[in-house]
Amino acid sequence: MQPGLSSDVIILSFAIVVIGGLGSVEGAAVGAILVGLARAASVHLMPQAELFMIYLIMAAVLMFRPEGLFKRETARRI
Amino acid sequence: MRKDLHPPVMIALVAGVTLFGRVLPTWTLSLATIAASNALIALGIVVLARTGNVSFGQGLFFAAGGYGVALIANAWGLTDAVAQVVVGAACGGLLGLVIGPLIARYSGIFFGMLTLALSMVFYGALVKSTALGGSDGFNVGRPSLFGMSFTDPREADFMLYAVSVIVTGFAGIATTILFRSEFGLASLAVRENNLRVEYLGLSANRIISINFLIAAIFAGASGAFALMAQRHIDPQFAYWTTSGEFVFVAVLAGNQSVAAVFVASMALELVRSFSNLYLPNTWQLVLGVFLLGVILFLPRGIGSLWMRDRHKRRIPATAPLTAERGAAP
Repeated sequence: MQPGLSSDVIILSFAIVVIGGLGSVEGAAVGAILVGLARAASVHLMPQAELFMIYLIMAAVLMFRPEGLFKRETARRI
Repeated sequence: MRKDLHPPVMIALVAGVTLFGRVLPTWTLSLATIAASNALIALGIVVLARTGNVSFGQGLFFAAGGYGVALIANAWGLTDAVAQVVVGAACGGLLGLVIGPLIARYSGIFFGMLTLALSMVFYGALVKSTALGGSDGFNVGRPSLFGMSFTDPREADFMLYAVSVIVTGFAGIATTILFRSEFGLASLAVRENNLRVEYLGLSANRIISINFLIAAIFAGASGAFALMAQRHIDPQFAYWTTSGEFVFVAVLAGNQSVAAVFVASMALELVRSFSNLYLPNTWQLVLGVFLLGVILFLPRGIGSLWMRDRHKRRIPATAPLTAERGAAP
């Protein structure tokens, strides 16, 4: 435990929310599982990539789904 | 009748500030150098923020500029300060040219997180690369200027101060002209509603890409300054807390005034060093309270202190510096 803990958590949680899609609860759950599994797998298989595994996952998801996995359709002002 | 400053007046202002460095004590000089360098990169974030996108990964271009300059300086013995700034800007700009068009289609938090992801991937690669010194980084030599080398530390400090103030000042003048131009106004329109801009026949993605490129060039040049000031580079340049600090300067300044960026950057550095000096154990607390105070009482940034009235008249009701393009109800 340390006072600077928040900064690690906030980046992780932002990444999860972005992967899942803003405003989507199931998206956040799926994003958390995805990030958790990917980090665990990379620690096991490729330890040197652990540092940026979250970001790679996020970039890969956003490449195909620019607004996250579970983006809800919303009306927008034109 | 517009009361804006004319470019010659602004150039005179830059020259005045540069000469003022002659009478400043040494500690202020290095502080002002860092403030000017931070202001340059924050200026890039403000330019980009006018399209509604906030980049949380300017550290990527900051580090790219710094590492590019450091590698070239060590390999070919390039020590000229102005040349180093140009090289840094070129390195940042080249990277921005590649990345800008790729991420221009994202908006809001997705844009921010993606830029952050790119900078963190770069950070990870730098930490793991033993050829570049890994997490320790490496040192570079003292910068020179037009063939003159400065052995007196006071002269060297002043040289660095002068170069950073002049470059940042001219970047500021160019940005002011950009903000008043048709392109600058189109950028504001993208933030308001990118679909309407597209209907007008302009490409919103292109506008964002160009602004992104400008921000990347500024960040690369700023990386060169940070390198010259520290004479050392490490992967911390690309870490997200570094980028976050620059975003903070931009948020403090607001996106209405270029001068506010310089004021915000200098104020942040002053508060940081004074609280560090007098309250060594709780300086983060002082810094946090200062930032909270500015956000509470000047929600649109320091620039709203002197831009308020005129802004209301010309461009009604613009949102504060938040990334909320797209998905508006």
